[in-house]
Amino acid sequence: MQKKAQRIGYNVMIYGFVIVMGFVFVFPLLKMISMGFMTSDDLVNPLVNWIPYSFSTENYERAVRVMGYWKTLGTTIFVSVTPALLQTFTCSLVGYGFARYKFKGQNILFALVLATFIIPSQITMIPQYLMYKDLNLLGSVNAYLLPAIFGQGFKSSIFILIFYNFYKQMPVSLIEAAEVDGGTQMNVFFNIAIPIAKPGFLISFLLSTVWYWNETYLGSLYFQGKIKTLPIQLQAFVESFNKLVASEGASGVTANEAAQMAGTFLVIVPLLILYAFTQKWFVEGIDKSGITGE
Amino acid sequence: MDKKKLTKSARDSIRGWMFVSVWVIGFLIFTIYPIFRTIKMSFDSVIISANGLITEFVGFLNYQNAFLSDVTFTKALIQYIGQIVLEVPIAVVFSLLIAMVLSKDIKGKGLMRTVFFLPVIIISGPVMEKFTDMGLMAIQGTQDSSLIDSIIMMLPETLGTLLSTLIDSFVMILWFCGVQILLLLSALQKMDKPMYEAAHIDGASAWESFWLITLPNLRTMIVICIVYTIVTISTFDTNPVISMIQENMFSITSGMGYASAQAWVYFFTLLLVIGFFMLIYGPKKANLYGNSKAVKQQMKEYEKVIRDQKREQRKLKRTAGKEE
Repeated sequence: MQKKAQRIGYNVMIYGFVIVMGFVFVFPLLKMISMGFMTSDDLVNPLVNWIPYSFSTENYERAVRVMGYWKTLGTTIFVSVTPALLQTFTCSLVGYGFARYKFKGQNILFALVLATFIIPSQITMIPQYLMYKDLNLLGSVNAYLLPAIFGQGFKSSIFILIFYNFYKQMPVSLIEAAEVDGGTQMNVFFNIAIPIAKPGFLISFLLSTVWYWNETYLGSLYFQGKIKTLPIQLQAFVESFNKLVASEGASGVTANEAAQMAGTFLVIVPLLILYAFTQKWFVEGIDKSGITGE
Repeated sequence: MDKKKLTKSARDSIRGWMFVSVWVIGFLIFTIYPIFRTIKMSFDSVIISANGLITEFVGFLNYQNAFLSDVTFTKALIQYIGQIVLEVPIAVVFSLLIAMVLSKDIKGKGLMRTVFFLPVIIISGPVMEKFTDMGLMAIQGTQDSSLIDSIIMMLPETLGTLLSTLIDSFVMILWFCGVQILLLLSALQKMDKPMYEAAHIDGASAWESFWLITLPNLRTMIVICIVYTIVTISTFDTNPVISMIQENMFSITSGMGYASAQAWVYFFTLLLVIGFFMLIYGPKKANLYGNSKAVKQQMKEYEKVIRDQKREQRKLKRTAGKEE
């Protein structure tokens, strides 16, 4: 009897904790969606907490215009997918080099790769900025692409580590067999290594895309306002909102909470859609990547 | 065929370097060179003019200014240290709690994993700013509490601001945990189940086996999570110190030299913070539970119990096989 009561108590505790934590995690998102549909009357009405009296899509419609949504969305996808592709490819090569071969200076080099994770971009961004200025790369996506090609993109050490762990799991006998059969190193890499590391490619590409998407600190520095991604547009939301309202001649409309939440929702909704389709790879990829230290 | 003359290790060396050479070149151009240039610039006064950069050596003046004249910078730096020292333990403890609960056989585990990782996908500076502005990142029910307000008023200014940021951005701390939860979860799932069973047979409570088995075994992973959390929070866009550095880059009065000095001060602070955490909970340090002799003895006994159990099982199997 007592044991049963204990188990019930235990279950209540565990599930209670998970449910409370889960709610805390999604609360801001739910609130954001609900607020986005509110009119300015609903916002001040103390009776309206979650469900607005009249569902108004006006906020979303206006936010689409404020941010030039569809064009900006296209830009954002381009600016995050291309560097992510390049970064993934380079990191896969580098990770392979570390995992497959033993060479002089390997340990020091690998330690340096990991150390770059700790170096904040503030240390390197000023000379990089000047460098891109001299090369006329400012204001173009090339300021992202160039470092990505050379394995110095955002958090590239994580991706090198992921690939390293995947390639470490390669069966050596398979490679040796291929070499005996006269396969070149490139053959081995493309025909044996890459297929084995497929989940690594996927997780790296996805994470990299998402991180490039969300980056605004370096983005606003290197793009100089010439390329506007969705998060950068969100930064200037209130300002552009007021401008738009003035040009449309709609008086009395302000960038209230509802309008801002609608804008925020529009910025993250593409990521939510991406996550809805790929969450399994994200979650399992991290598990499989073996960063968990073997 | 010259190739054949090379030994296998020499060949491997060349091939290895070929694969990593891209990174090495990039590292020299985009990291090493900028690092040295930032060092040099931090001792210069650098001003952008129509004719390019005008640099002038000023010695330690930039550093002096950062600590002695620029009140906002030192204040932001202290705020940042306080924030990290407070937030990192919270983030790691919550990550561990969530990971441990998810490692149990509970229903809806997959869904919850998805939920806890979700913030990693959407977290960005402007989005967080909007959420914090709307009070959505605060601990609910505390926003207008007069009790908390009066506590904040009573504390010294730095501590007060610290507490109010903590309350206002508590959910944000949790949102930084997505990766850590998954890392800890997969480390937990790779842990030795028989060890727990043996401990259980010996009468260890769940509480004891947490301290004696789980925590020592997770140590490396927790250290990784601590570093990851520190770096994530430090490089996040809403960090006031880093936005200050960017602002100063283009300021006419301070310029890039001053910004470089600030960047270095900031980097050293970051290293100090990491060092501080490693002192308290670093890898391989003799720890109260993990390395004490009594525990090692206990572990050996557990291992023996496990061996005995396995032997017993094999015996049973053999006899069962004979009977068939």
